[in-house]
Amino acid sequence: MILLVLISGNPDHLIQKHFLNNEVKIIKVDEKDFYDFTALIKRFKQSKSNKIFYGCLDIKYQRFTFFMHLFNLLAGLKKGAIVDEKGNSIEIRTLKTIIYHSPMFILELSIGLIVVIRYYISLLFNKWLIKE
Amino acid sequence: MANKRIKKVLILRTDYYGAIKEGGTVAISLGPYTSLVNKGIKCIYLSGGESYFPPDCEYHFVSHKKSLLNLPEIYNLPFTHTAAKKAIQIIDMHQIDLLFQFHSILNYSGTIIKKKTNIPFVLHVDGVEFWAKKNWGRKLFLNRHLRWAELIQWHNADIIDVPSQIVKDMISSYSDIDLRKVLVNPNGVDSDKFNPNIDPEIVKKKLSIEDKFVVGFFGTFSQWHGVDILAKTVALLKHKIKDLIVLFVGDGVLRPTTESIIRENNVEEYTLFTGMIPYQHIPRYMAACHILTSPCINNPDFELFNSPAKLFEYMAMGKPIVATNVGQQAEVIIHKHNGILCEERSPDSLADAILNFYYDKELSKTCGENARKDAVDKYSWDNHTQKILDAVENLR
Repeated sequence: MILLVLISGNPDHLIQKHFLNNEVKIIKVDEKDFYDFTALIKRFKQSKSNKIFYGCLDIKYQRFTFFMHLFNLLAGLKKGAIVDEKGNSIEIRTLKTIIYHSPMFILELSIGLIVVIRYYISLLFNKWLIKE
Repeated sequence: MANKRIKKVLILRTDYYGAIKEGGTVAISLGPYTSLVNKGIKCIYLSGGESYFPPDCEYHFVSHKKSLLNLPEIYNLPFTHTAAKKAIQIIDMHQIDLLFQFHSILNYSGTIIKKKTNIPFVLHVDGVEFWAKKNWGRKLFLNRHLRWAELIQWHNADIIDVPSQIVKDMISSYSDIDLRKVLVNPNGVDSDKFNPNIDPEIVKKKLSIEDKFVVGFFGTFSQWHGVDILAKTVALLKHKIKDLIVLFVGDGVLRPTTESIIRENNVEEYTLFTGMIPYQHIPRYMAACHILTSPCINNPDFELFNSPAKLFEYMAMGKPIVATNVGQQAEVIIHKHNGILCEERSPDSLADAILNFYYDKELSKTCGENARKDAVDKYSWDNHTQKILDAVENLR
C-alpha cells in the first residue's frame, strides 16, 4: 500500500495522475507539521506502508523538499517520491539523499546564513535612517 | 468616475504563495486590480507567483530564490531586492503614477522603490506579520528582521490601507508612525461575479447534493476561521435538519483537526470536504448552499483583526449568513437584518443560529436580500479603491 502525504492539491487529481492501479492511503499534512518531525515519522512508521509519496500542487513551487527526502530516510523507507498534480515527480532514493541532497542542504544553510547577516545590516541601516 | 491624476498603477504582491491560486488572498489581490481597471486606470501586476489574472492583464513574474526554499522565511529576504529591481524597471518604462503593494513577511521592496522613483506608495496591510508569525506560526524565525522590515515599510509608505480599526490599533501598538496616514478601509467584493442568480445545479449534481439542505463554509482553515467549531456543530444539527450536508470548501492548517472531529463524532455522512476549489468556481459552490457560515474567532490577545473577504462574498450572493460576533463581522452583520450573529467558540450558539434560519424561511429571505443590498452599496471593491485614490489625491 502507498501512503500519500498530502501537502497541497487535490487527492483525486494526484491519484489519477500517479496511482491509478494502486491502493492508496491518504494523510493530510501541513508544511508547519514538518517542525514536529518526530511525530510525523512515527505516523509514517505506524502506517506500515512501504512507499511514501508526498503530494503537492506543483513541484516547481514546493518548499522544504529536502525534508521530504530526509523523512523517508529517517523512517527507514527506501522508496518514495514527490509528486504533483501536473504529473511531475521526483524520486526519493536513500543514496541520493545522503550523497547529494544532504551536502546541498548544508550549502544552502551556509548561503542562508550569509543572506541573514547581509539583510540584518541592511535592515539595521534602514531602521537607523528612520530614526534620523 | 476615473481619477483625474492617477493613470497607471503598479500592483506588487511579494508574499510566497507558490502554486496556490485559491483563498481569500486571491480575492483581496485581484479585487483592487479589477476595480482600478474599471475606473479606466491602467494596472500592471508584478507578483512572485501565478494567479487567475484576467486575460488582458499585463502581468510580470519574479521568482523567489529556488536555492533557499528549504529554509523557512530566509528566501523572502533577497526577494525584496529582486522584486524592487523589476518594479523600478517597470515604473521607468511605463511612467507609473502609483505603487500599491500588499504587505508581506520580511519584505521592504516598497521602501526601496519609493526612494528610487519617488512615486506615491500605498501599502495594503491585512494584519501585523510579526504578531501573526508569533501567534500562528509554529516557530518564530528571524524575529528582528521581521519586526524591522515591517517598521521600515510602515514608516516609508505614504498611505497604509488597513481593512479594520483593529489592524490600525495593532500597528499603533507596534510602532510610533503617524496614524493619520492609516486609512481604515474594509475589503470588498466583486458583486457582479458573486450574485444571487448563479445556477447551483451543476455543483449540486457534481457533489450529489441535489436533495440536501446545505450549510456551507468557505475558507483557508486558518486558526482564526473557527472551522473546528463548525465541525463540532454538525453533531448538534444532524437530527434537527432533514437531509443535512455541511459543505467544507477550502484547505489549510486546521483541516486535519477538522476532519478528526468529524470522525470522532461519527458524522462523516453529513459532511463533504471539497479541498481547494479554483477561485472562479467559488460563486457556484456558494450558490449550492442554503446557509453560509463564518464562525471566525478572536485571537488570544487581540480581537479578530481580519476583514474576511468571504463574508462580503456571502453577502453579495444574497444568502442567509450566520457569523460570529467578533471583529469586523460584528460591525458588518446587523443581527436579523442582513444575517444572524452568534457567540464565538460556541457550537451550541452556532447551531441555534443555523436552526433559526432553517425554521424561519421569511427571515432567511429578508436577510439574504438585505445582505446583497449592503454588499453592493457599501462593500464593493469600487468603494475600496475610490477611498485609496481620494487619499492619494489628498497627498498632492
